Amino acid sequence: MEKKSFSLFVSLLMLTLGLIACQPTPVEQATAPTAEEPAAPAAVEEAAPVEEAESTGAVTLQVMGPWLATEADAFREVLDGFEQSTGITVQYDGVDVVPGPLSARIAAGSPPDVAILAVAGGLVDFAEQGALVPLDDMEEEIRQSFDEGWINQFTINDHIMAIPTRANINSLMWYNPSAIDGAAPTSWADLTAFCEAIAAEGNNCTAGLGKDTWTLGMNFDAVYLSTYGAEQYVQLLTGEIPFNDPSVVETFNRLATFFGDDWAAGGGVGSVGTGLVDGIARVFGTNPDASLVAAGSWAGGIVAGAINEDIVEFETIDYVPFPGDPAGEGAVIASADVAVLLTDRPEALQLMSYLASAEGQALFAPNGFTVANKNVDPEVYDGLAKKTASLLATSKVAPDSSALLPSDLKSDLIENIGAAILAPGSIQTLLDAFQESASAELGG
Amino acid sequence: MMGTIRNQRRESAWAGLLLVAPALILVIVFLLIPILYTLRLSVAEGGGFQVTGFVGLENYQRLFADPKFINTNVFPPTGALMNSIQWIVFAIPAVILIGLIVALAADRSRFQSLIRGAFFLPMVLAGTAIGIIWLFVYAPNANVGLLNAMTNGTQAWLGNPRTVNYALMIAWVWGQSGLSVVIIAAALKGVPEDQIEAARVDGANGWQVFRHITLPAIRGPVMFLLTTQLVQVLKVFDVVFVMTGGGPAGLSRTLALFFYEKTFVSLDPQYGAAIVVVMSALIVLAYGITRRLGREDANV
Repeated sequence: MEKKSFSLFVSLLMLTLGLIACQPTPVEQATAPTAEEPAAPAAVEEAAPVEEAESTGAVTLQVMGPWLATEADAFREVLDGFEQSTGITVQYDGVDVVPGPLSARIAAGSPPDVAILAVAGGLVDFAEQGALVPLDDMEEEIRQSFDEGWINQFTINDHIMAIPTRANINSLMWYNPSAIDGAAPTSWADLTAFCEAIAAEGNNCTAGLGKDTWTLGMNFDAVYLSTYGAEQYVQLLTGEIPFNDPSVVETFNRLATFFGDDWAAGGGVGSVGTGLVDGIARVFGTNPDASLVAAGSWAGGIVAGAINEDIVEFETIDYVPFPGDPAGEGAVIASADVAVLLTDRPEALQLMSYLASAEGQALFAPNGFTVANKNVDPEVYDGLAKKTASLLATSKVAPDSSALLPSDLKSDLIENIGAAILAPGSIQTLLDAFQESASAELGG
Repeated sequence: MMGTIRNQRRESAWAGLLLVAPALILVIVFLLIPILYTLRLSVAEGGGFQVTGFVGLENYQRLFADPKFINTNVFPPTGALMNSIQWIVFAIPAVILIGLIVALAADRSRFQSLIRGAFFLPMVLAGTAIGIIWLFVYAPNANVGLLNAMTNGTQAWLGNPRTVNYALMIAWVWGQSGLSVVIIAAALKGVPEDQIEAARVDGANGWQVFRHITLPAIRGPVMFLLTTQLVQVLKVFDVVFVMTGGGPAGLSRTLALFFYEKTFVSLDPQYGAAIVVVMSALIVLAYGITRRLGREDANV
């Protein structure tokens, strides 16, 4: 009896351990032949594309990206164009925030072939981990298709690591032309006079969006660039200029003024406590209580889709580049969702090439998205999208700071901007402390 | 004779082991191995989730020197740890107190099922949904924000460093109170009626009946609530993530949000593992304290 029980226990234990041991590892899952179901599309996490291709002639690529719902549908149209021209199937896996799940799949040894990173978030981190395949084979076509500013943004250790796809300008200031007297201010001096006049009447000049904290980072980029120009802006983000430099102090002071108690609806507290849509609604809603809002070129879509469907482009909604100083003229902060290559499969490189091409990128336009490829015919756009595309094509493109700063440092910077708006007197102290951590990460 | 007894005992031990083996394997695979992996990760370095070397307690040293975790250079201290402690101090008593008051009131009402149901309703909502609902309550724009519409104000409750944590706690307490109402209401049904009647005959007033009969009778369920809410509070993430993302200026960051930021935004899972180990230690500590309190209370 004792022997029987022992044998039974050992047998069951061995069986269980055997079953566990026989489970394919993620790497094996990604490469094991799937002869039983060759034609069926594999689950996103368990696809076996290479062998599938060998056994059936069909190839399936995996793409992970941040676009969901209607944005995913729009991307599907682009992927459909690729599938039709190549016969290669592409599975798209949309996730809310890409870096976490992507990092887990890289660690498990089964990365997707291509990933889209929202506003290049995490690009530097993934490149430093060695997870990305350099786009050396595409260099010539990339140089022919994109502004130098974009290429510099995505060049890491002398290799181009990403291509921009959908692109936005983030250094804009939106207003309702029918609600203001005269033209919108185009310099910091004009803006100061404009807002002081409005404040003197007891009204709000600006609206903040700081509860969605990333907008504060976007505003920092816009103010620094518009004040000091693209070259100095890049020097700052690459550690050549310290973050407690007088130029950064001035930028923080301008932010604290723009979002502070004198100009902003709800004062500093209101600026950091108002969310993106609420803030834009303070200018374009049915009961507006502010005149200006600093936001990217995507704001027009938010107004039309979620705030005020009666809005008319150029009549009741328009924008100007964020008002600054002469040194900052002619440059814009542009951010792009970027495509990166994670496997060395030739079909994946083919997809990257398509995503970079004017033909592929033009397929984003019918859904209202502007793109980075300068060879896309401007006539595919209309209204404010056309204005944005034209501005992108004629301006010096400077990167969103997310593309150059490690994500940890960027989130610290954003936190300090919030603190500066709430307590403008602490700006120098905040920046001195921030510079300590920045110098450790960026050097200099 | 002795040999037979020994054999029988050994046989029954093997049979017992056999019976618990499936559960044991699950515990090992889904609990023990992840715990050991997290501990290992917390003393390691490497890109992403990869481990390329061991750094001893360096991640813990970084953590306790990180002002985002605890900043003792200001008074009162700030940081994720202090925010989580603030939640323990204010949110847990609020959940239990509301549960007690509503359950007592419902116990004396004809509509007790309705009252309990109304309070329990938010329990079925996900934390993210609760966050979104309360964003509408707190929105600074009076056209959107219920609170500002009621007070005819434009307060940014979630932007003000003085109000942000309390505003978040209110939303969370709203979501959690239903459980305490239901548990305490059920416990009240077990309070011996004869003791209450006897106390009343002896001249005890309402407070004396509550203090000396009702409260001791529901002590067990209340201690259970205290323990579970402690764990919940130390893990609170969804409401904060949706409503403030830890802002303004990181002033509403909780331990769980800090862990998320470091692991999935900063892509530093080794540091994140150190945070989660400290969180787990706090949960174990809090559990130990509440158990001890419960025992001491029972001995009084």
